[in-house]
Amino acid sequence: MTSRSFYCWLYVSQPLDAHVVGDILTAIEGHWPTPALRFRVDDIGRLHPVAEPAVWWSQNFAAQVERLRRALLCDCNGVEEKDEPYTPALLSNGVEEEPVALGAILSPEELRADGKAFTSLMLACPATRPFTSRLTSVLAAIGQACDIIRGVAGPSISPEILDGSMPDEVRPRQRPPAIPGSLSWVSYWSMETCRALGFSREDPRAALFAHVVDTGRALILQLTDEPLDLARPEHRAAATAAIAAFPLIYGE
Amino acid sequence: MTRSMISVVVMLLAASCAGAQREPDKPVSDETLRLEVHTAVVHIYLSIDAAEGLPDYLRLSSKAKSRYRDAIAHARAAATRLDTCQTPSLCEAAANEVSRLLRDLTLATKRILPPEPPQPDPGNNDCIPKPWCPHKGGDNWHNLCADREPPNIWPGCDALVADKRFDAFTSAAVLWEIKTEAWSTQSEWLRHLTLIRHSFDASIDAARARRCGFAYVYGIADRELFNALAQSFGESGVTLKHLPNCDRRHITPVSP
Repeated sequence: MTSRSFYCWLYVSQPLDAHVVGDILTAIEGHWPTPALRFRVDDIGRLHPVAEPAVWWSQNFAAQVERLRRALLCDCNGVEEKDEPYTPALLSNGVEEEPVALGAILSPEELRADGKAFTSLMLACPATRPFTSRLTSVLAAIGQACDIIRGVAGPSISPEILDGSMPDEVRPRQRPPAIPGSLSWVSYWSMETCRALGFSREDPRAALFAHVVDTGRALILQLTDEPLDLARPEHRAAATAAIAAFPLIYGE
Repeated sequence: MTRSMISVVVMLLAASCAGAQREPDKPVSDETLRLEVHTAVVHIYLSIDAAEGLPDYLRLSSKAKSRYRDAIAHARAAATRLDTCQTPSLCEAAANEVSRLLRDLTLATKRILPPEPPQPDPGNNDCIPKPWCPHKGGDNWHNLCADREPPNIWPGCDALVADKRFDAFTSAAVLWEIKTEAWSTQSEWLRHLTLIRHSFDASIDAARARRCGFAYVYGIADRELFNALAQSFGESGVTLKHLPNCDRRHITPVSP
């Protein structure tokens, strides 16, 4: 079993029906050395094979959306909440030594604001090669399958993390959806996000990143060659410079 | 008054609430009854002592103290009769009396708790928080953390708001959900699952709390889980708080 996983969170602006999810799974399975993600994970972590993973996933996620809508729209009648068994939509490849998983949550803020549902896709992979070395390829392929506004992959960075004063409390930031909450080892910025940040491929700040991939729909920015390790001086220097260069992300 | 002292009181209050949920027709052994009486008596005394050092909203009036002391004296006398009864009919009578007094004591304990929480939206009844005893789930460590950290104005009880049992409610009108599992030691499958589930649950509960005009805090004992959620959730409308005192790995075994 791997000791730790890499988490990618992708902010998606379109409904995730079975067709879209199927394309996302194809992107993952086509770029990483993993068996198909054809196991669902139950509420105590057991694996169960699923005949049509994309269909199961989209149906299960629709149930999440329904629960959220009920909570937001309040069809409460004074009856205590039922302890219904609840399993989030979560698919896995079934390989204990190298687990790859796909899950999602819905962002209630946006659902309430304008009726649109934004989804945070979670993609987890082992924090080892070749998964990390092909991360940008996987993100680029997923970005062709669905509309990602922005995304983060791997460890995030912040001034607090760099100076070791990681706070014990994280309060919600009021930012437009296009503005990222932080930079990570790999950041996925759609053209919409790049515009909001005043950033482009030609921007001198692009030189702060080890790799910049232009997919036509987005820029994928990889901060360092190897996965970010803040114990390494050159990685700390890269993180510090990037934080200073994007006041729209880290400023008040 | 130390925090650990308050913790003991809170834990005993929770134990008493649990006793009150016993089904009335279910046979209970004399030994169980004696234990419950002992627990109730001890916790009432502790509550009275502890109340001197508690915040205003938990402090007892002198009249209330007198009432509880009377109830305790009766319960002790009945417990002694149960201990020393010689015939089946006397033992049965003593057991029934103890059982009745135990219920009285538990009810008296509940009166210690503040009757009326803040009511932000009187037009919508399901938004008025109600104590719901005991805490759901029966996990003492989790419940102790939920009572101690926010701190909960209804120790031993959940707060029912908008059809949801929140783990704690504070005098500052903040609803809390507490997560005390050791995420760092879970299998990878379970870690992924837990991360997704917590993210989703927190967003739903935050929406409920906001609808009723309350702030909402998601308190997490495990530092790694806190960091992972902060990465995905820092801009979601949910306030995350790390609760290092609630980490199960900090539990010190009690010496016999």
